[in-house]
Amino acid sequence: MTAPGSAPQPGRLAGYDRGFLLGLYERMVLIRQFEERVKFLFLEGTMPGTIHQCQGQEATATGVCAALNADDFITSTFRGHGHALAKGLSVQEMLDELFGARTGCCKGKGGSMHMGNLAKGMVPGIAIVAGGIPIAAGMALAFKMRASTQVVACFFGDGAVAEGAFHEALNMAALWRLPVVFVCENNLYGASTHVDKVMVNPRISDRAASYGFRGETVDGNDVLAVYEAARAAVAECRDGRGPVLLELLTYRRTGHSRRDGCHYQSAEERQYWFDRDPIDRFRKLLLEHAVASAAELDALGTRVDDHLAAAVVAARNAPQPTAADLLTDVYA
Amino acid sequence: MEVEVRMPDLATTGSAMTLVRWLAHPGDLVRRGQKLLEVETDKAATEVECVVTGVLREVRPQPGDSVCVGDVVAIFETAESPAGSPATAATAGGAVQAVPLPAPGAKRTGGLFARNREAAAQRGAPAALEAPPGGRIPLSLARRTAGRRLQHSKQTAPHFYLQTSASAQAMVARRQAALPEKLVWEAFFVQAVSRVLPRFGQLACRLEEDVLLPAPTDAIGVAVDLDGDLLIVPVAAAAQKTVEEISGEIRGAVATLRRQAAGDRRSQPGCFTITNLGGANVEAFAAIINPPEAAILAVGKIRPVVVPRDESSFAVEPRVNLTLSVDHRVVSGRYAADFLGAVVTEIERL
Repeated sequence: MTAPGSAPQPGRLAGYDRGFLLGLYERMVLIRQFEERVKFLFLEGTMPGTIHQCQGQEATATGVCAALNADDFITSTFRGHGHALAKGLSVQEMLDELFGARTGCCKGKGGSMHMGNLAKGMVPGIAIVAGGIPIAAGMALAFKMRASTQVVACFFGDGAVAEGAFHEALNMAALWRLPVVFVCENNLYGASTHVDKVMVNPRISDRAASYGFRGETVDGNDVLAVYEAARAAVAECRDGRGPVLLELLTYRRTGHSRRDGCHYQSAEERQYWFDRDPIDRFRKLLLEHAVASAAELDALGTRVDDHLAAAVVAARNAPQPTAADLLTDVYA
Repeated sequence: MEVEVRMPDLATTGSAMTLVRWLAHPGDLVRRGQKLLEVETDKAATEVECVVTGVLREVRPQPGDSVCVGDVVAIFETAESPAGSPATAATAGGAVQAVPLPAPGAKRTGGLFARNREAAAQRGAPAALEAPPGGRIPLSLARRTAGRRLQHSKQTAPHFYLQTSASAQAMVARRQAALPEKLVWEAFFVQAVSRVLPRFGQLACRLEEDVLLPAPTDAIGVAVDLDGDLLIVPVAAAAQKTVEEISGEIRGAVATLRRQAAGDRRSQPGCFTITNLGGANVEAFAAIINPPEAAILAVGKIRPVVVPRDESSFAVEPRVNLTLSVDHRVVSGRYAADFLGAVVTEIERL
């Protein structure tokens, strides 16, 4: 291994800034450790509500959001912790939200499934499967009508692809050439159902051709591949050549929700994907190219964890909503 | 320090869960994240990870016991963290967080969630079948399932009821002859129904959409109440068995069910059900059809009845009331009446 301090080697990482690469790594580690910490908070029973976690899928959120500007938007799903962290929501506003505190990103009224902060370019998570896709198309239409250069990245899972809303939104987005990147995180399972049981053509990116625009399948556990694909897609959208459908192949290491024991994933399949863990792979790449030493990456992990630990303490003691908050920010 | 580990909120409806097994045992060193136990919720069996690193000192519920959210399930001896402080303690393997437990009576996060947990804490030991102090009795999984199915049956299957009675003389004599072995009364009805049913095949069918499908089994089910849980014991190929054999089979099946933990007991499918409350002194009753079956026979108490022998004299005879509940979508009144008549003939001529 190259000694710390020596110059980064090019190759796969040619053209990349060291700070940017370490930023990607740190963001993925943050998502993983956030999810692990939240898992134990749930198991302890100190944090209310169930949770849908994304361990194993860190590269999709991180790679896509790294290709967006601060004023670009994302829409998310019930599995939105990773998207929120990648789009720049703070650990504190998210943990406060999970604890139902007034200081949460949705003032404690959204919880795990509705993470979001419009000021940071994230519509609160839309928990209805495929529900966010037409909304993203609508936002993109608004950007186009205002002649803005903003772009929407719309996250959804493989389970959404069989919903009518997916097809209707793709068709309209294509018709009006809307600046929206449809990002399908294909983690092989809609809840407990394997994609092979619900689609004859498992290549989801092929759907784009039906509506006359470009689709691409990408290794969703390779954060650089995701970033590069997203960067190209975002550029096309800004250029009036959208929409684009990105299918990111990834894998969920946990159950659908905390109440799902995940017994339907075979040991061989789990091992195959564990061997392709997005964080392990990127860490190996960084070490091989001497972007950072193992000690530096470990220190980064410890720093993230300390930050999370302090945020958990603060979230436990964050102010809860009062009766006076009952009727604020609610509609209908 | 001593740390209590509580049951996480894994049930989807706030209902009780059943401990399936422990995946660690007292004396074991268990690491945070390691599988600690397996529970059955209303949806699925699932493994639960441990939230502390420490030596497992004590396990509270046993396999088969009911567990509620917030119940203390295990006591650990851990090395780290002063009580009450949610501090972290670094170990060689990375940062490990000790679980801070709220002090008794301390304010907790969440509305219903906290109330559930406090209610569970007040109940103390997990004894779901006993009425807790508040008088609330959580239903077992078996009772909830039976309730849902029977509600659906009563609400969707148009029931009609045929009442008749049969002489029990032949049964009483046969039972007397078998002493000291005491034949279960249900055995006679299982045999009679199984012999008659082939001639009335539609009553052994199940309705799916607008089609009658033959039941996948010829077993006649006997309804059994075990600790308040309603279960079905099936007797297959009963037409080829003697009453004594059928009786022995029912007794054996019930004994097996009794030996099982309440949560492990399962009903087996049949094509027709017999339910008997004669032993509880009920003279006659109308039962709800056990879906997806087409009919159920309710058997009352055998009792002496004065019956006319001819125009001018009477006799006293043991008789039993029978009520057949039938799904009118499946068969007509006349069809069911002929079936019931044939069952009476079979019972009387044993």
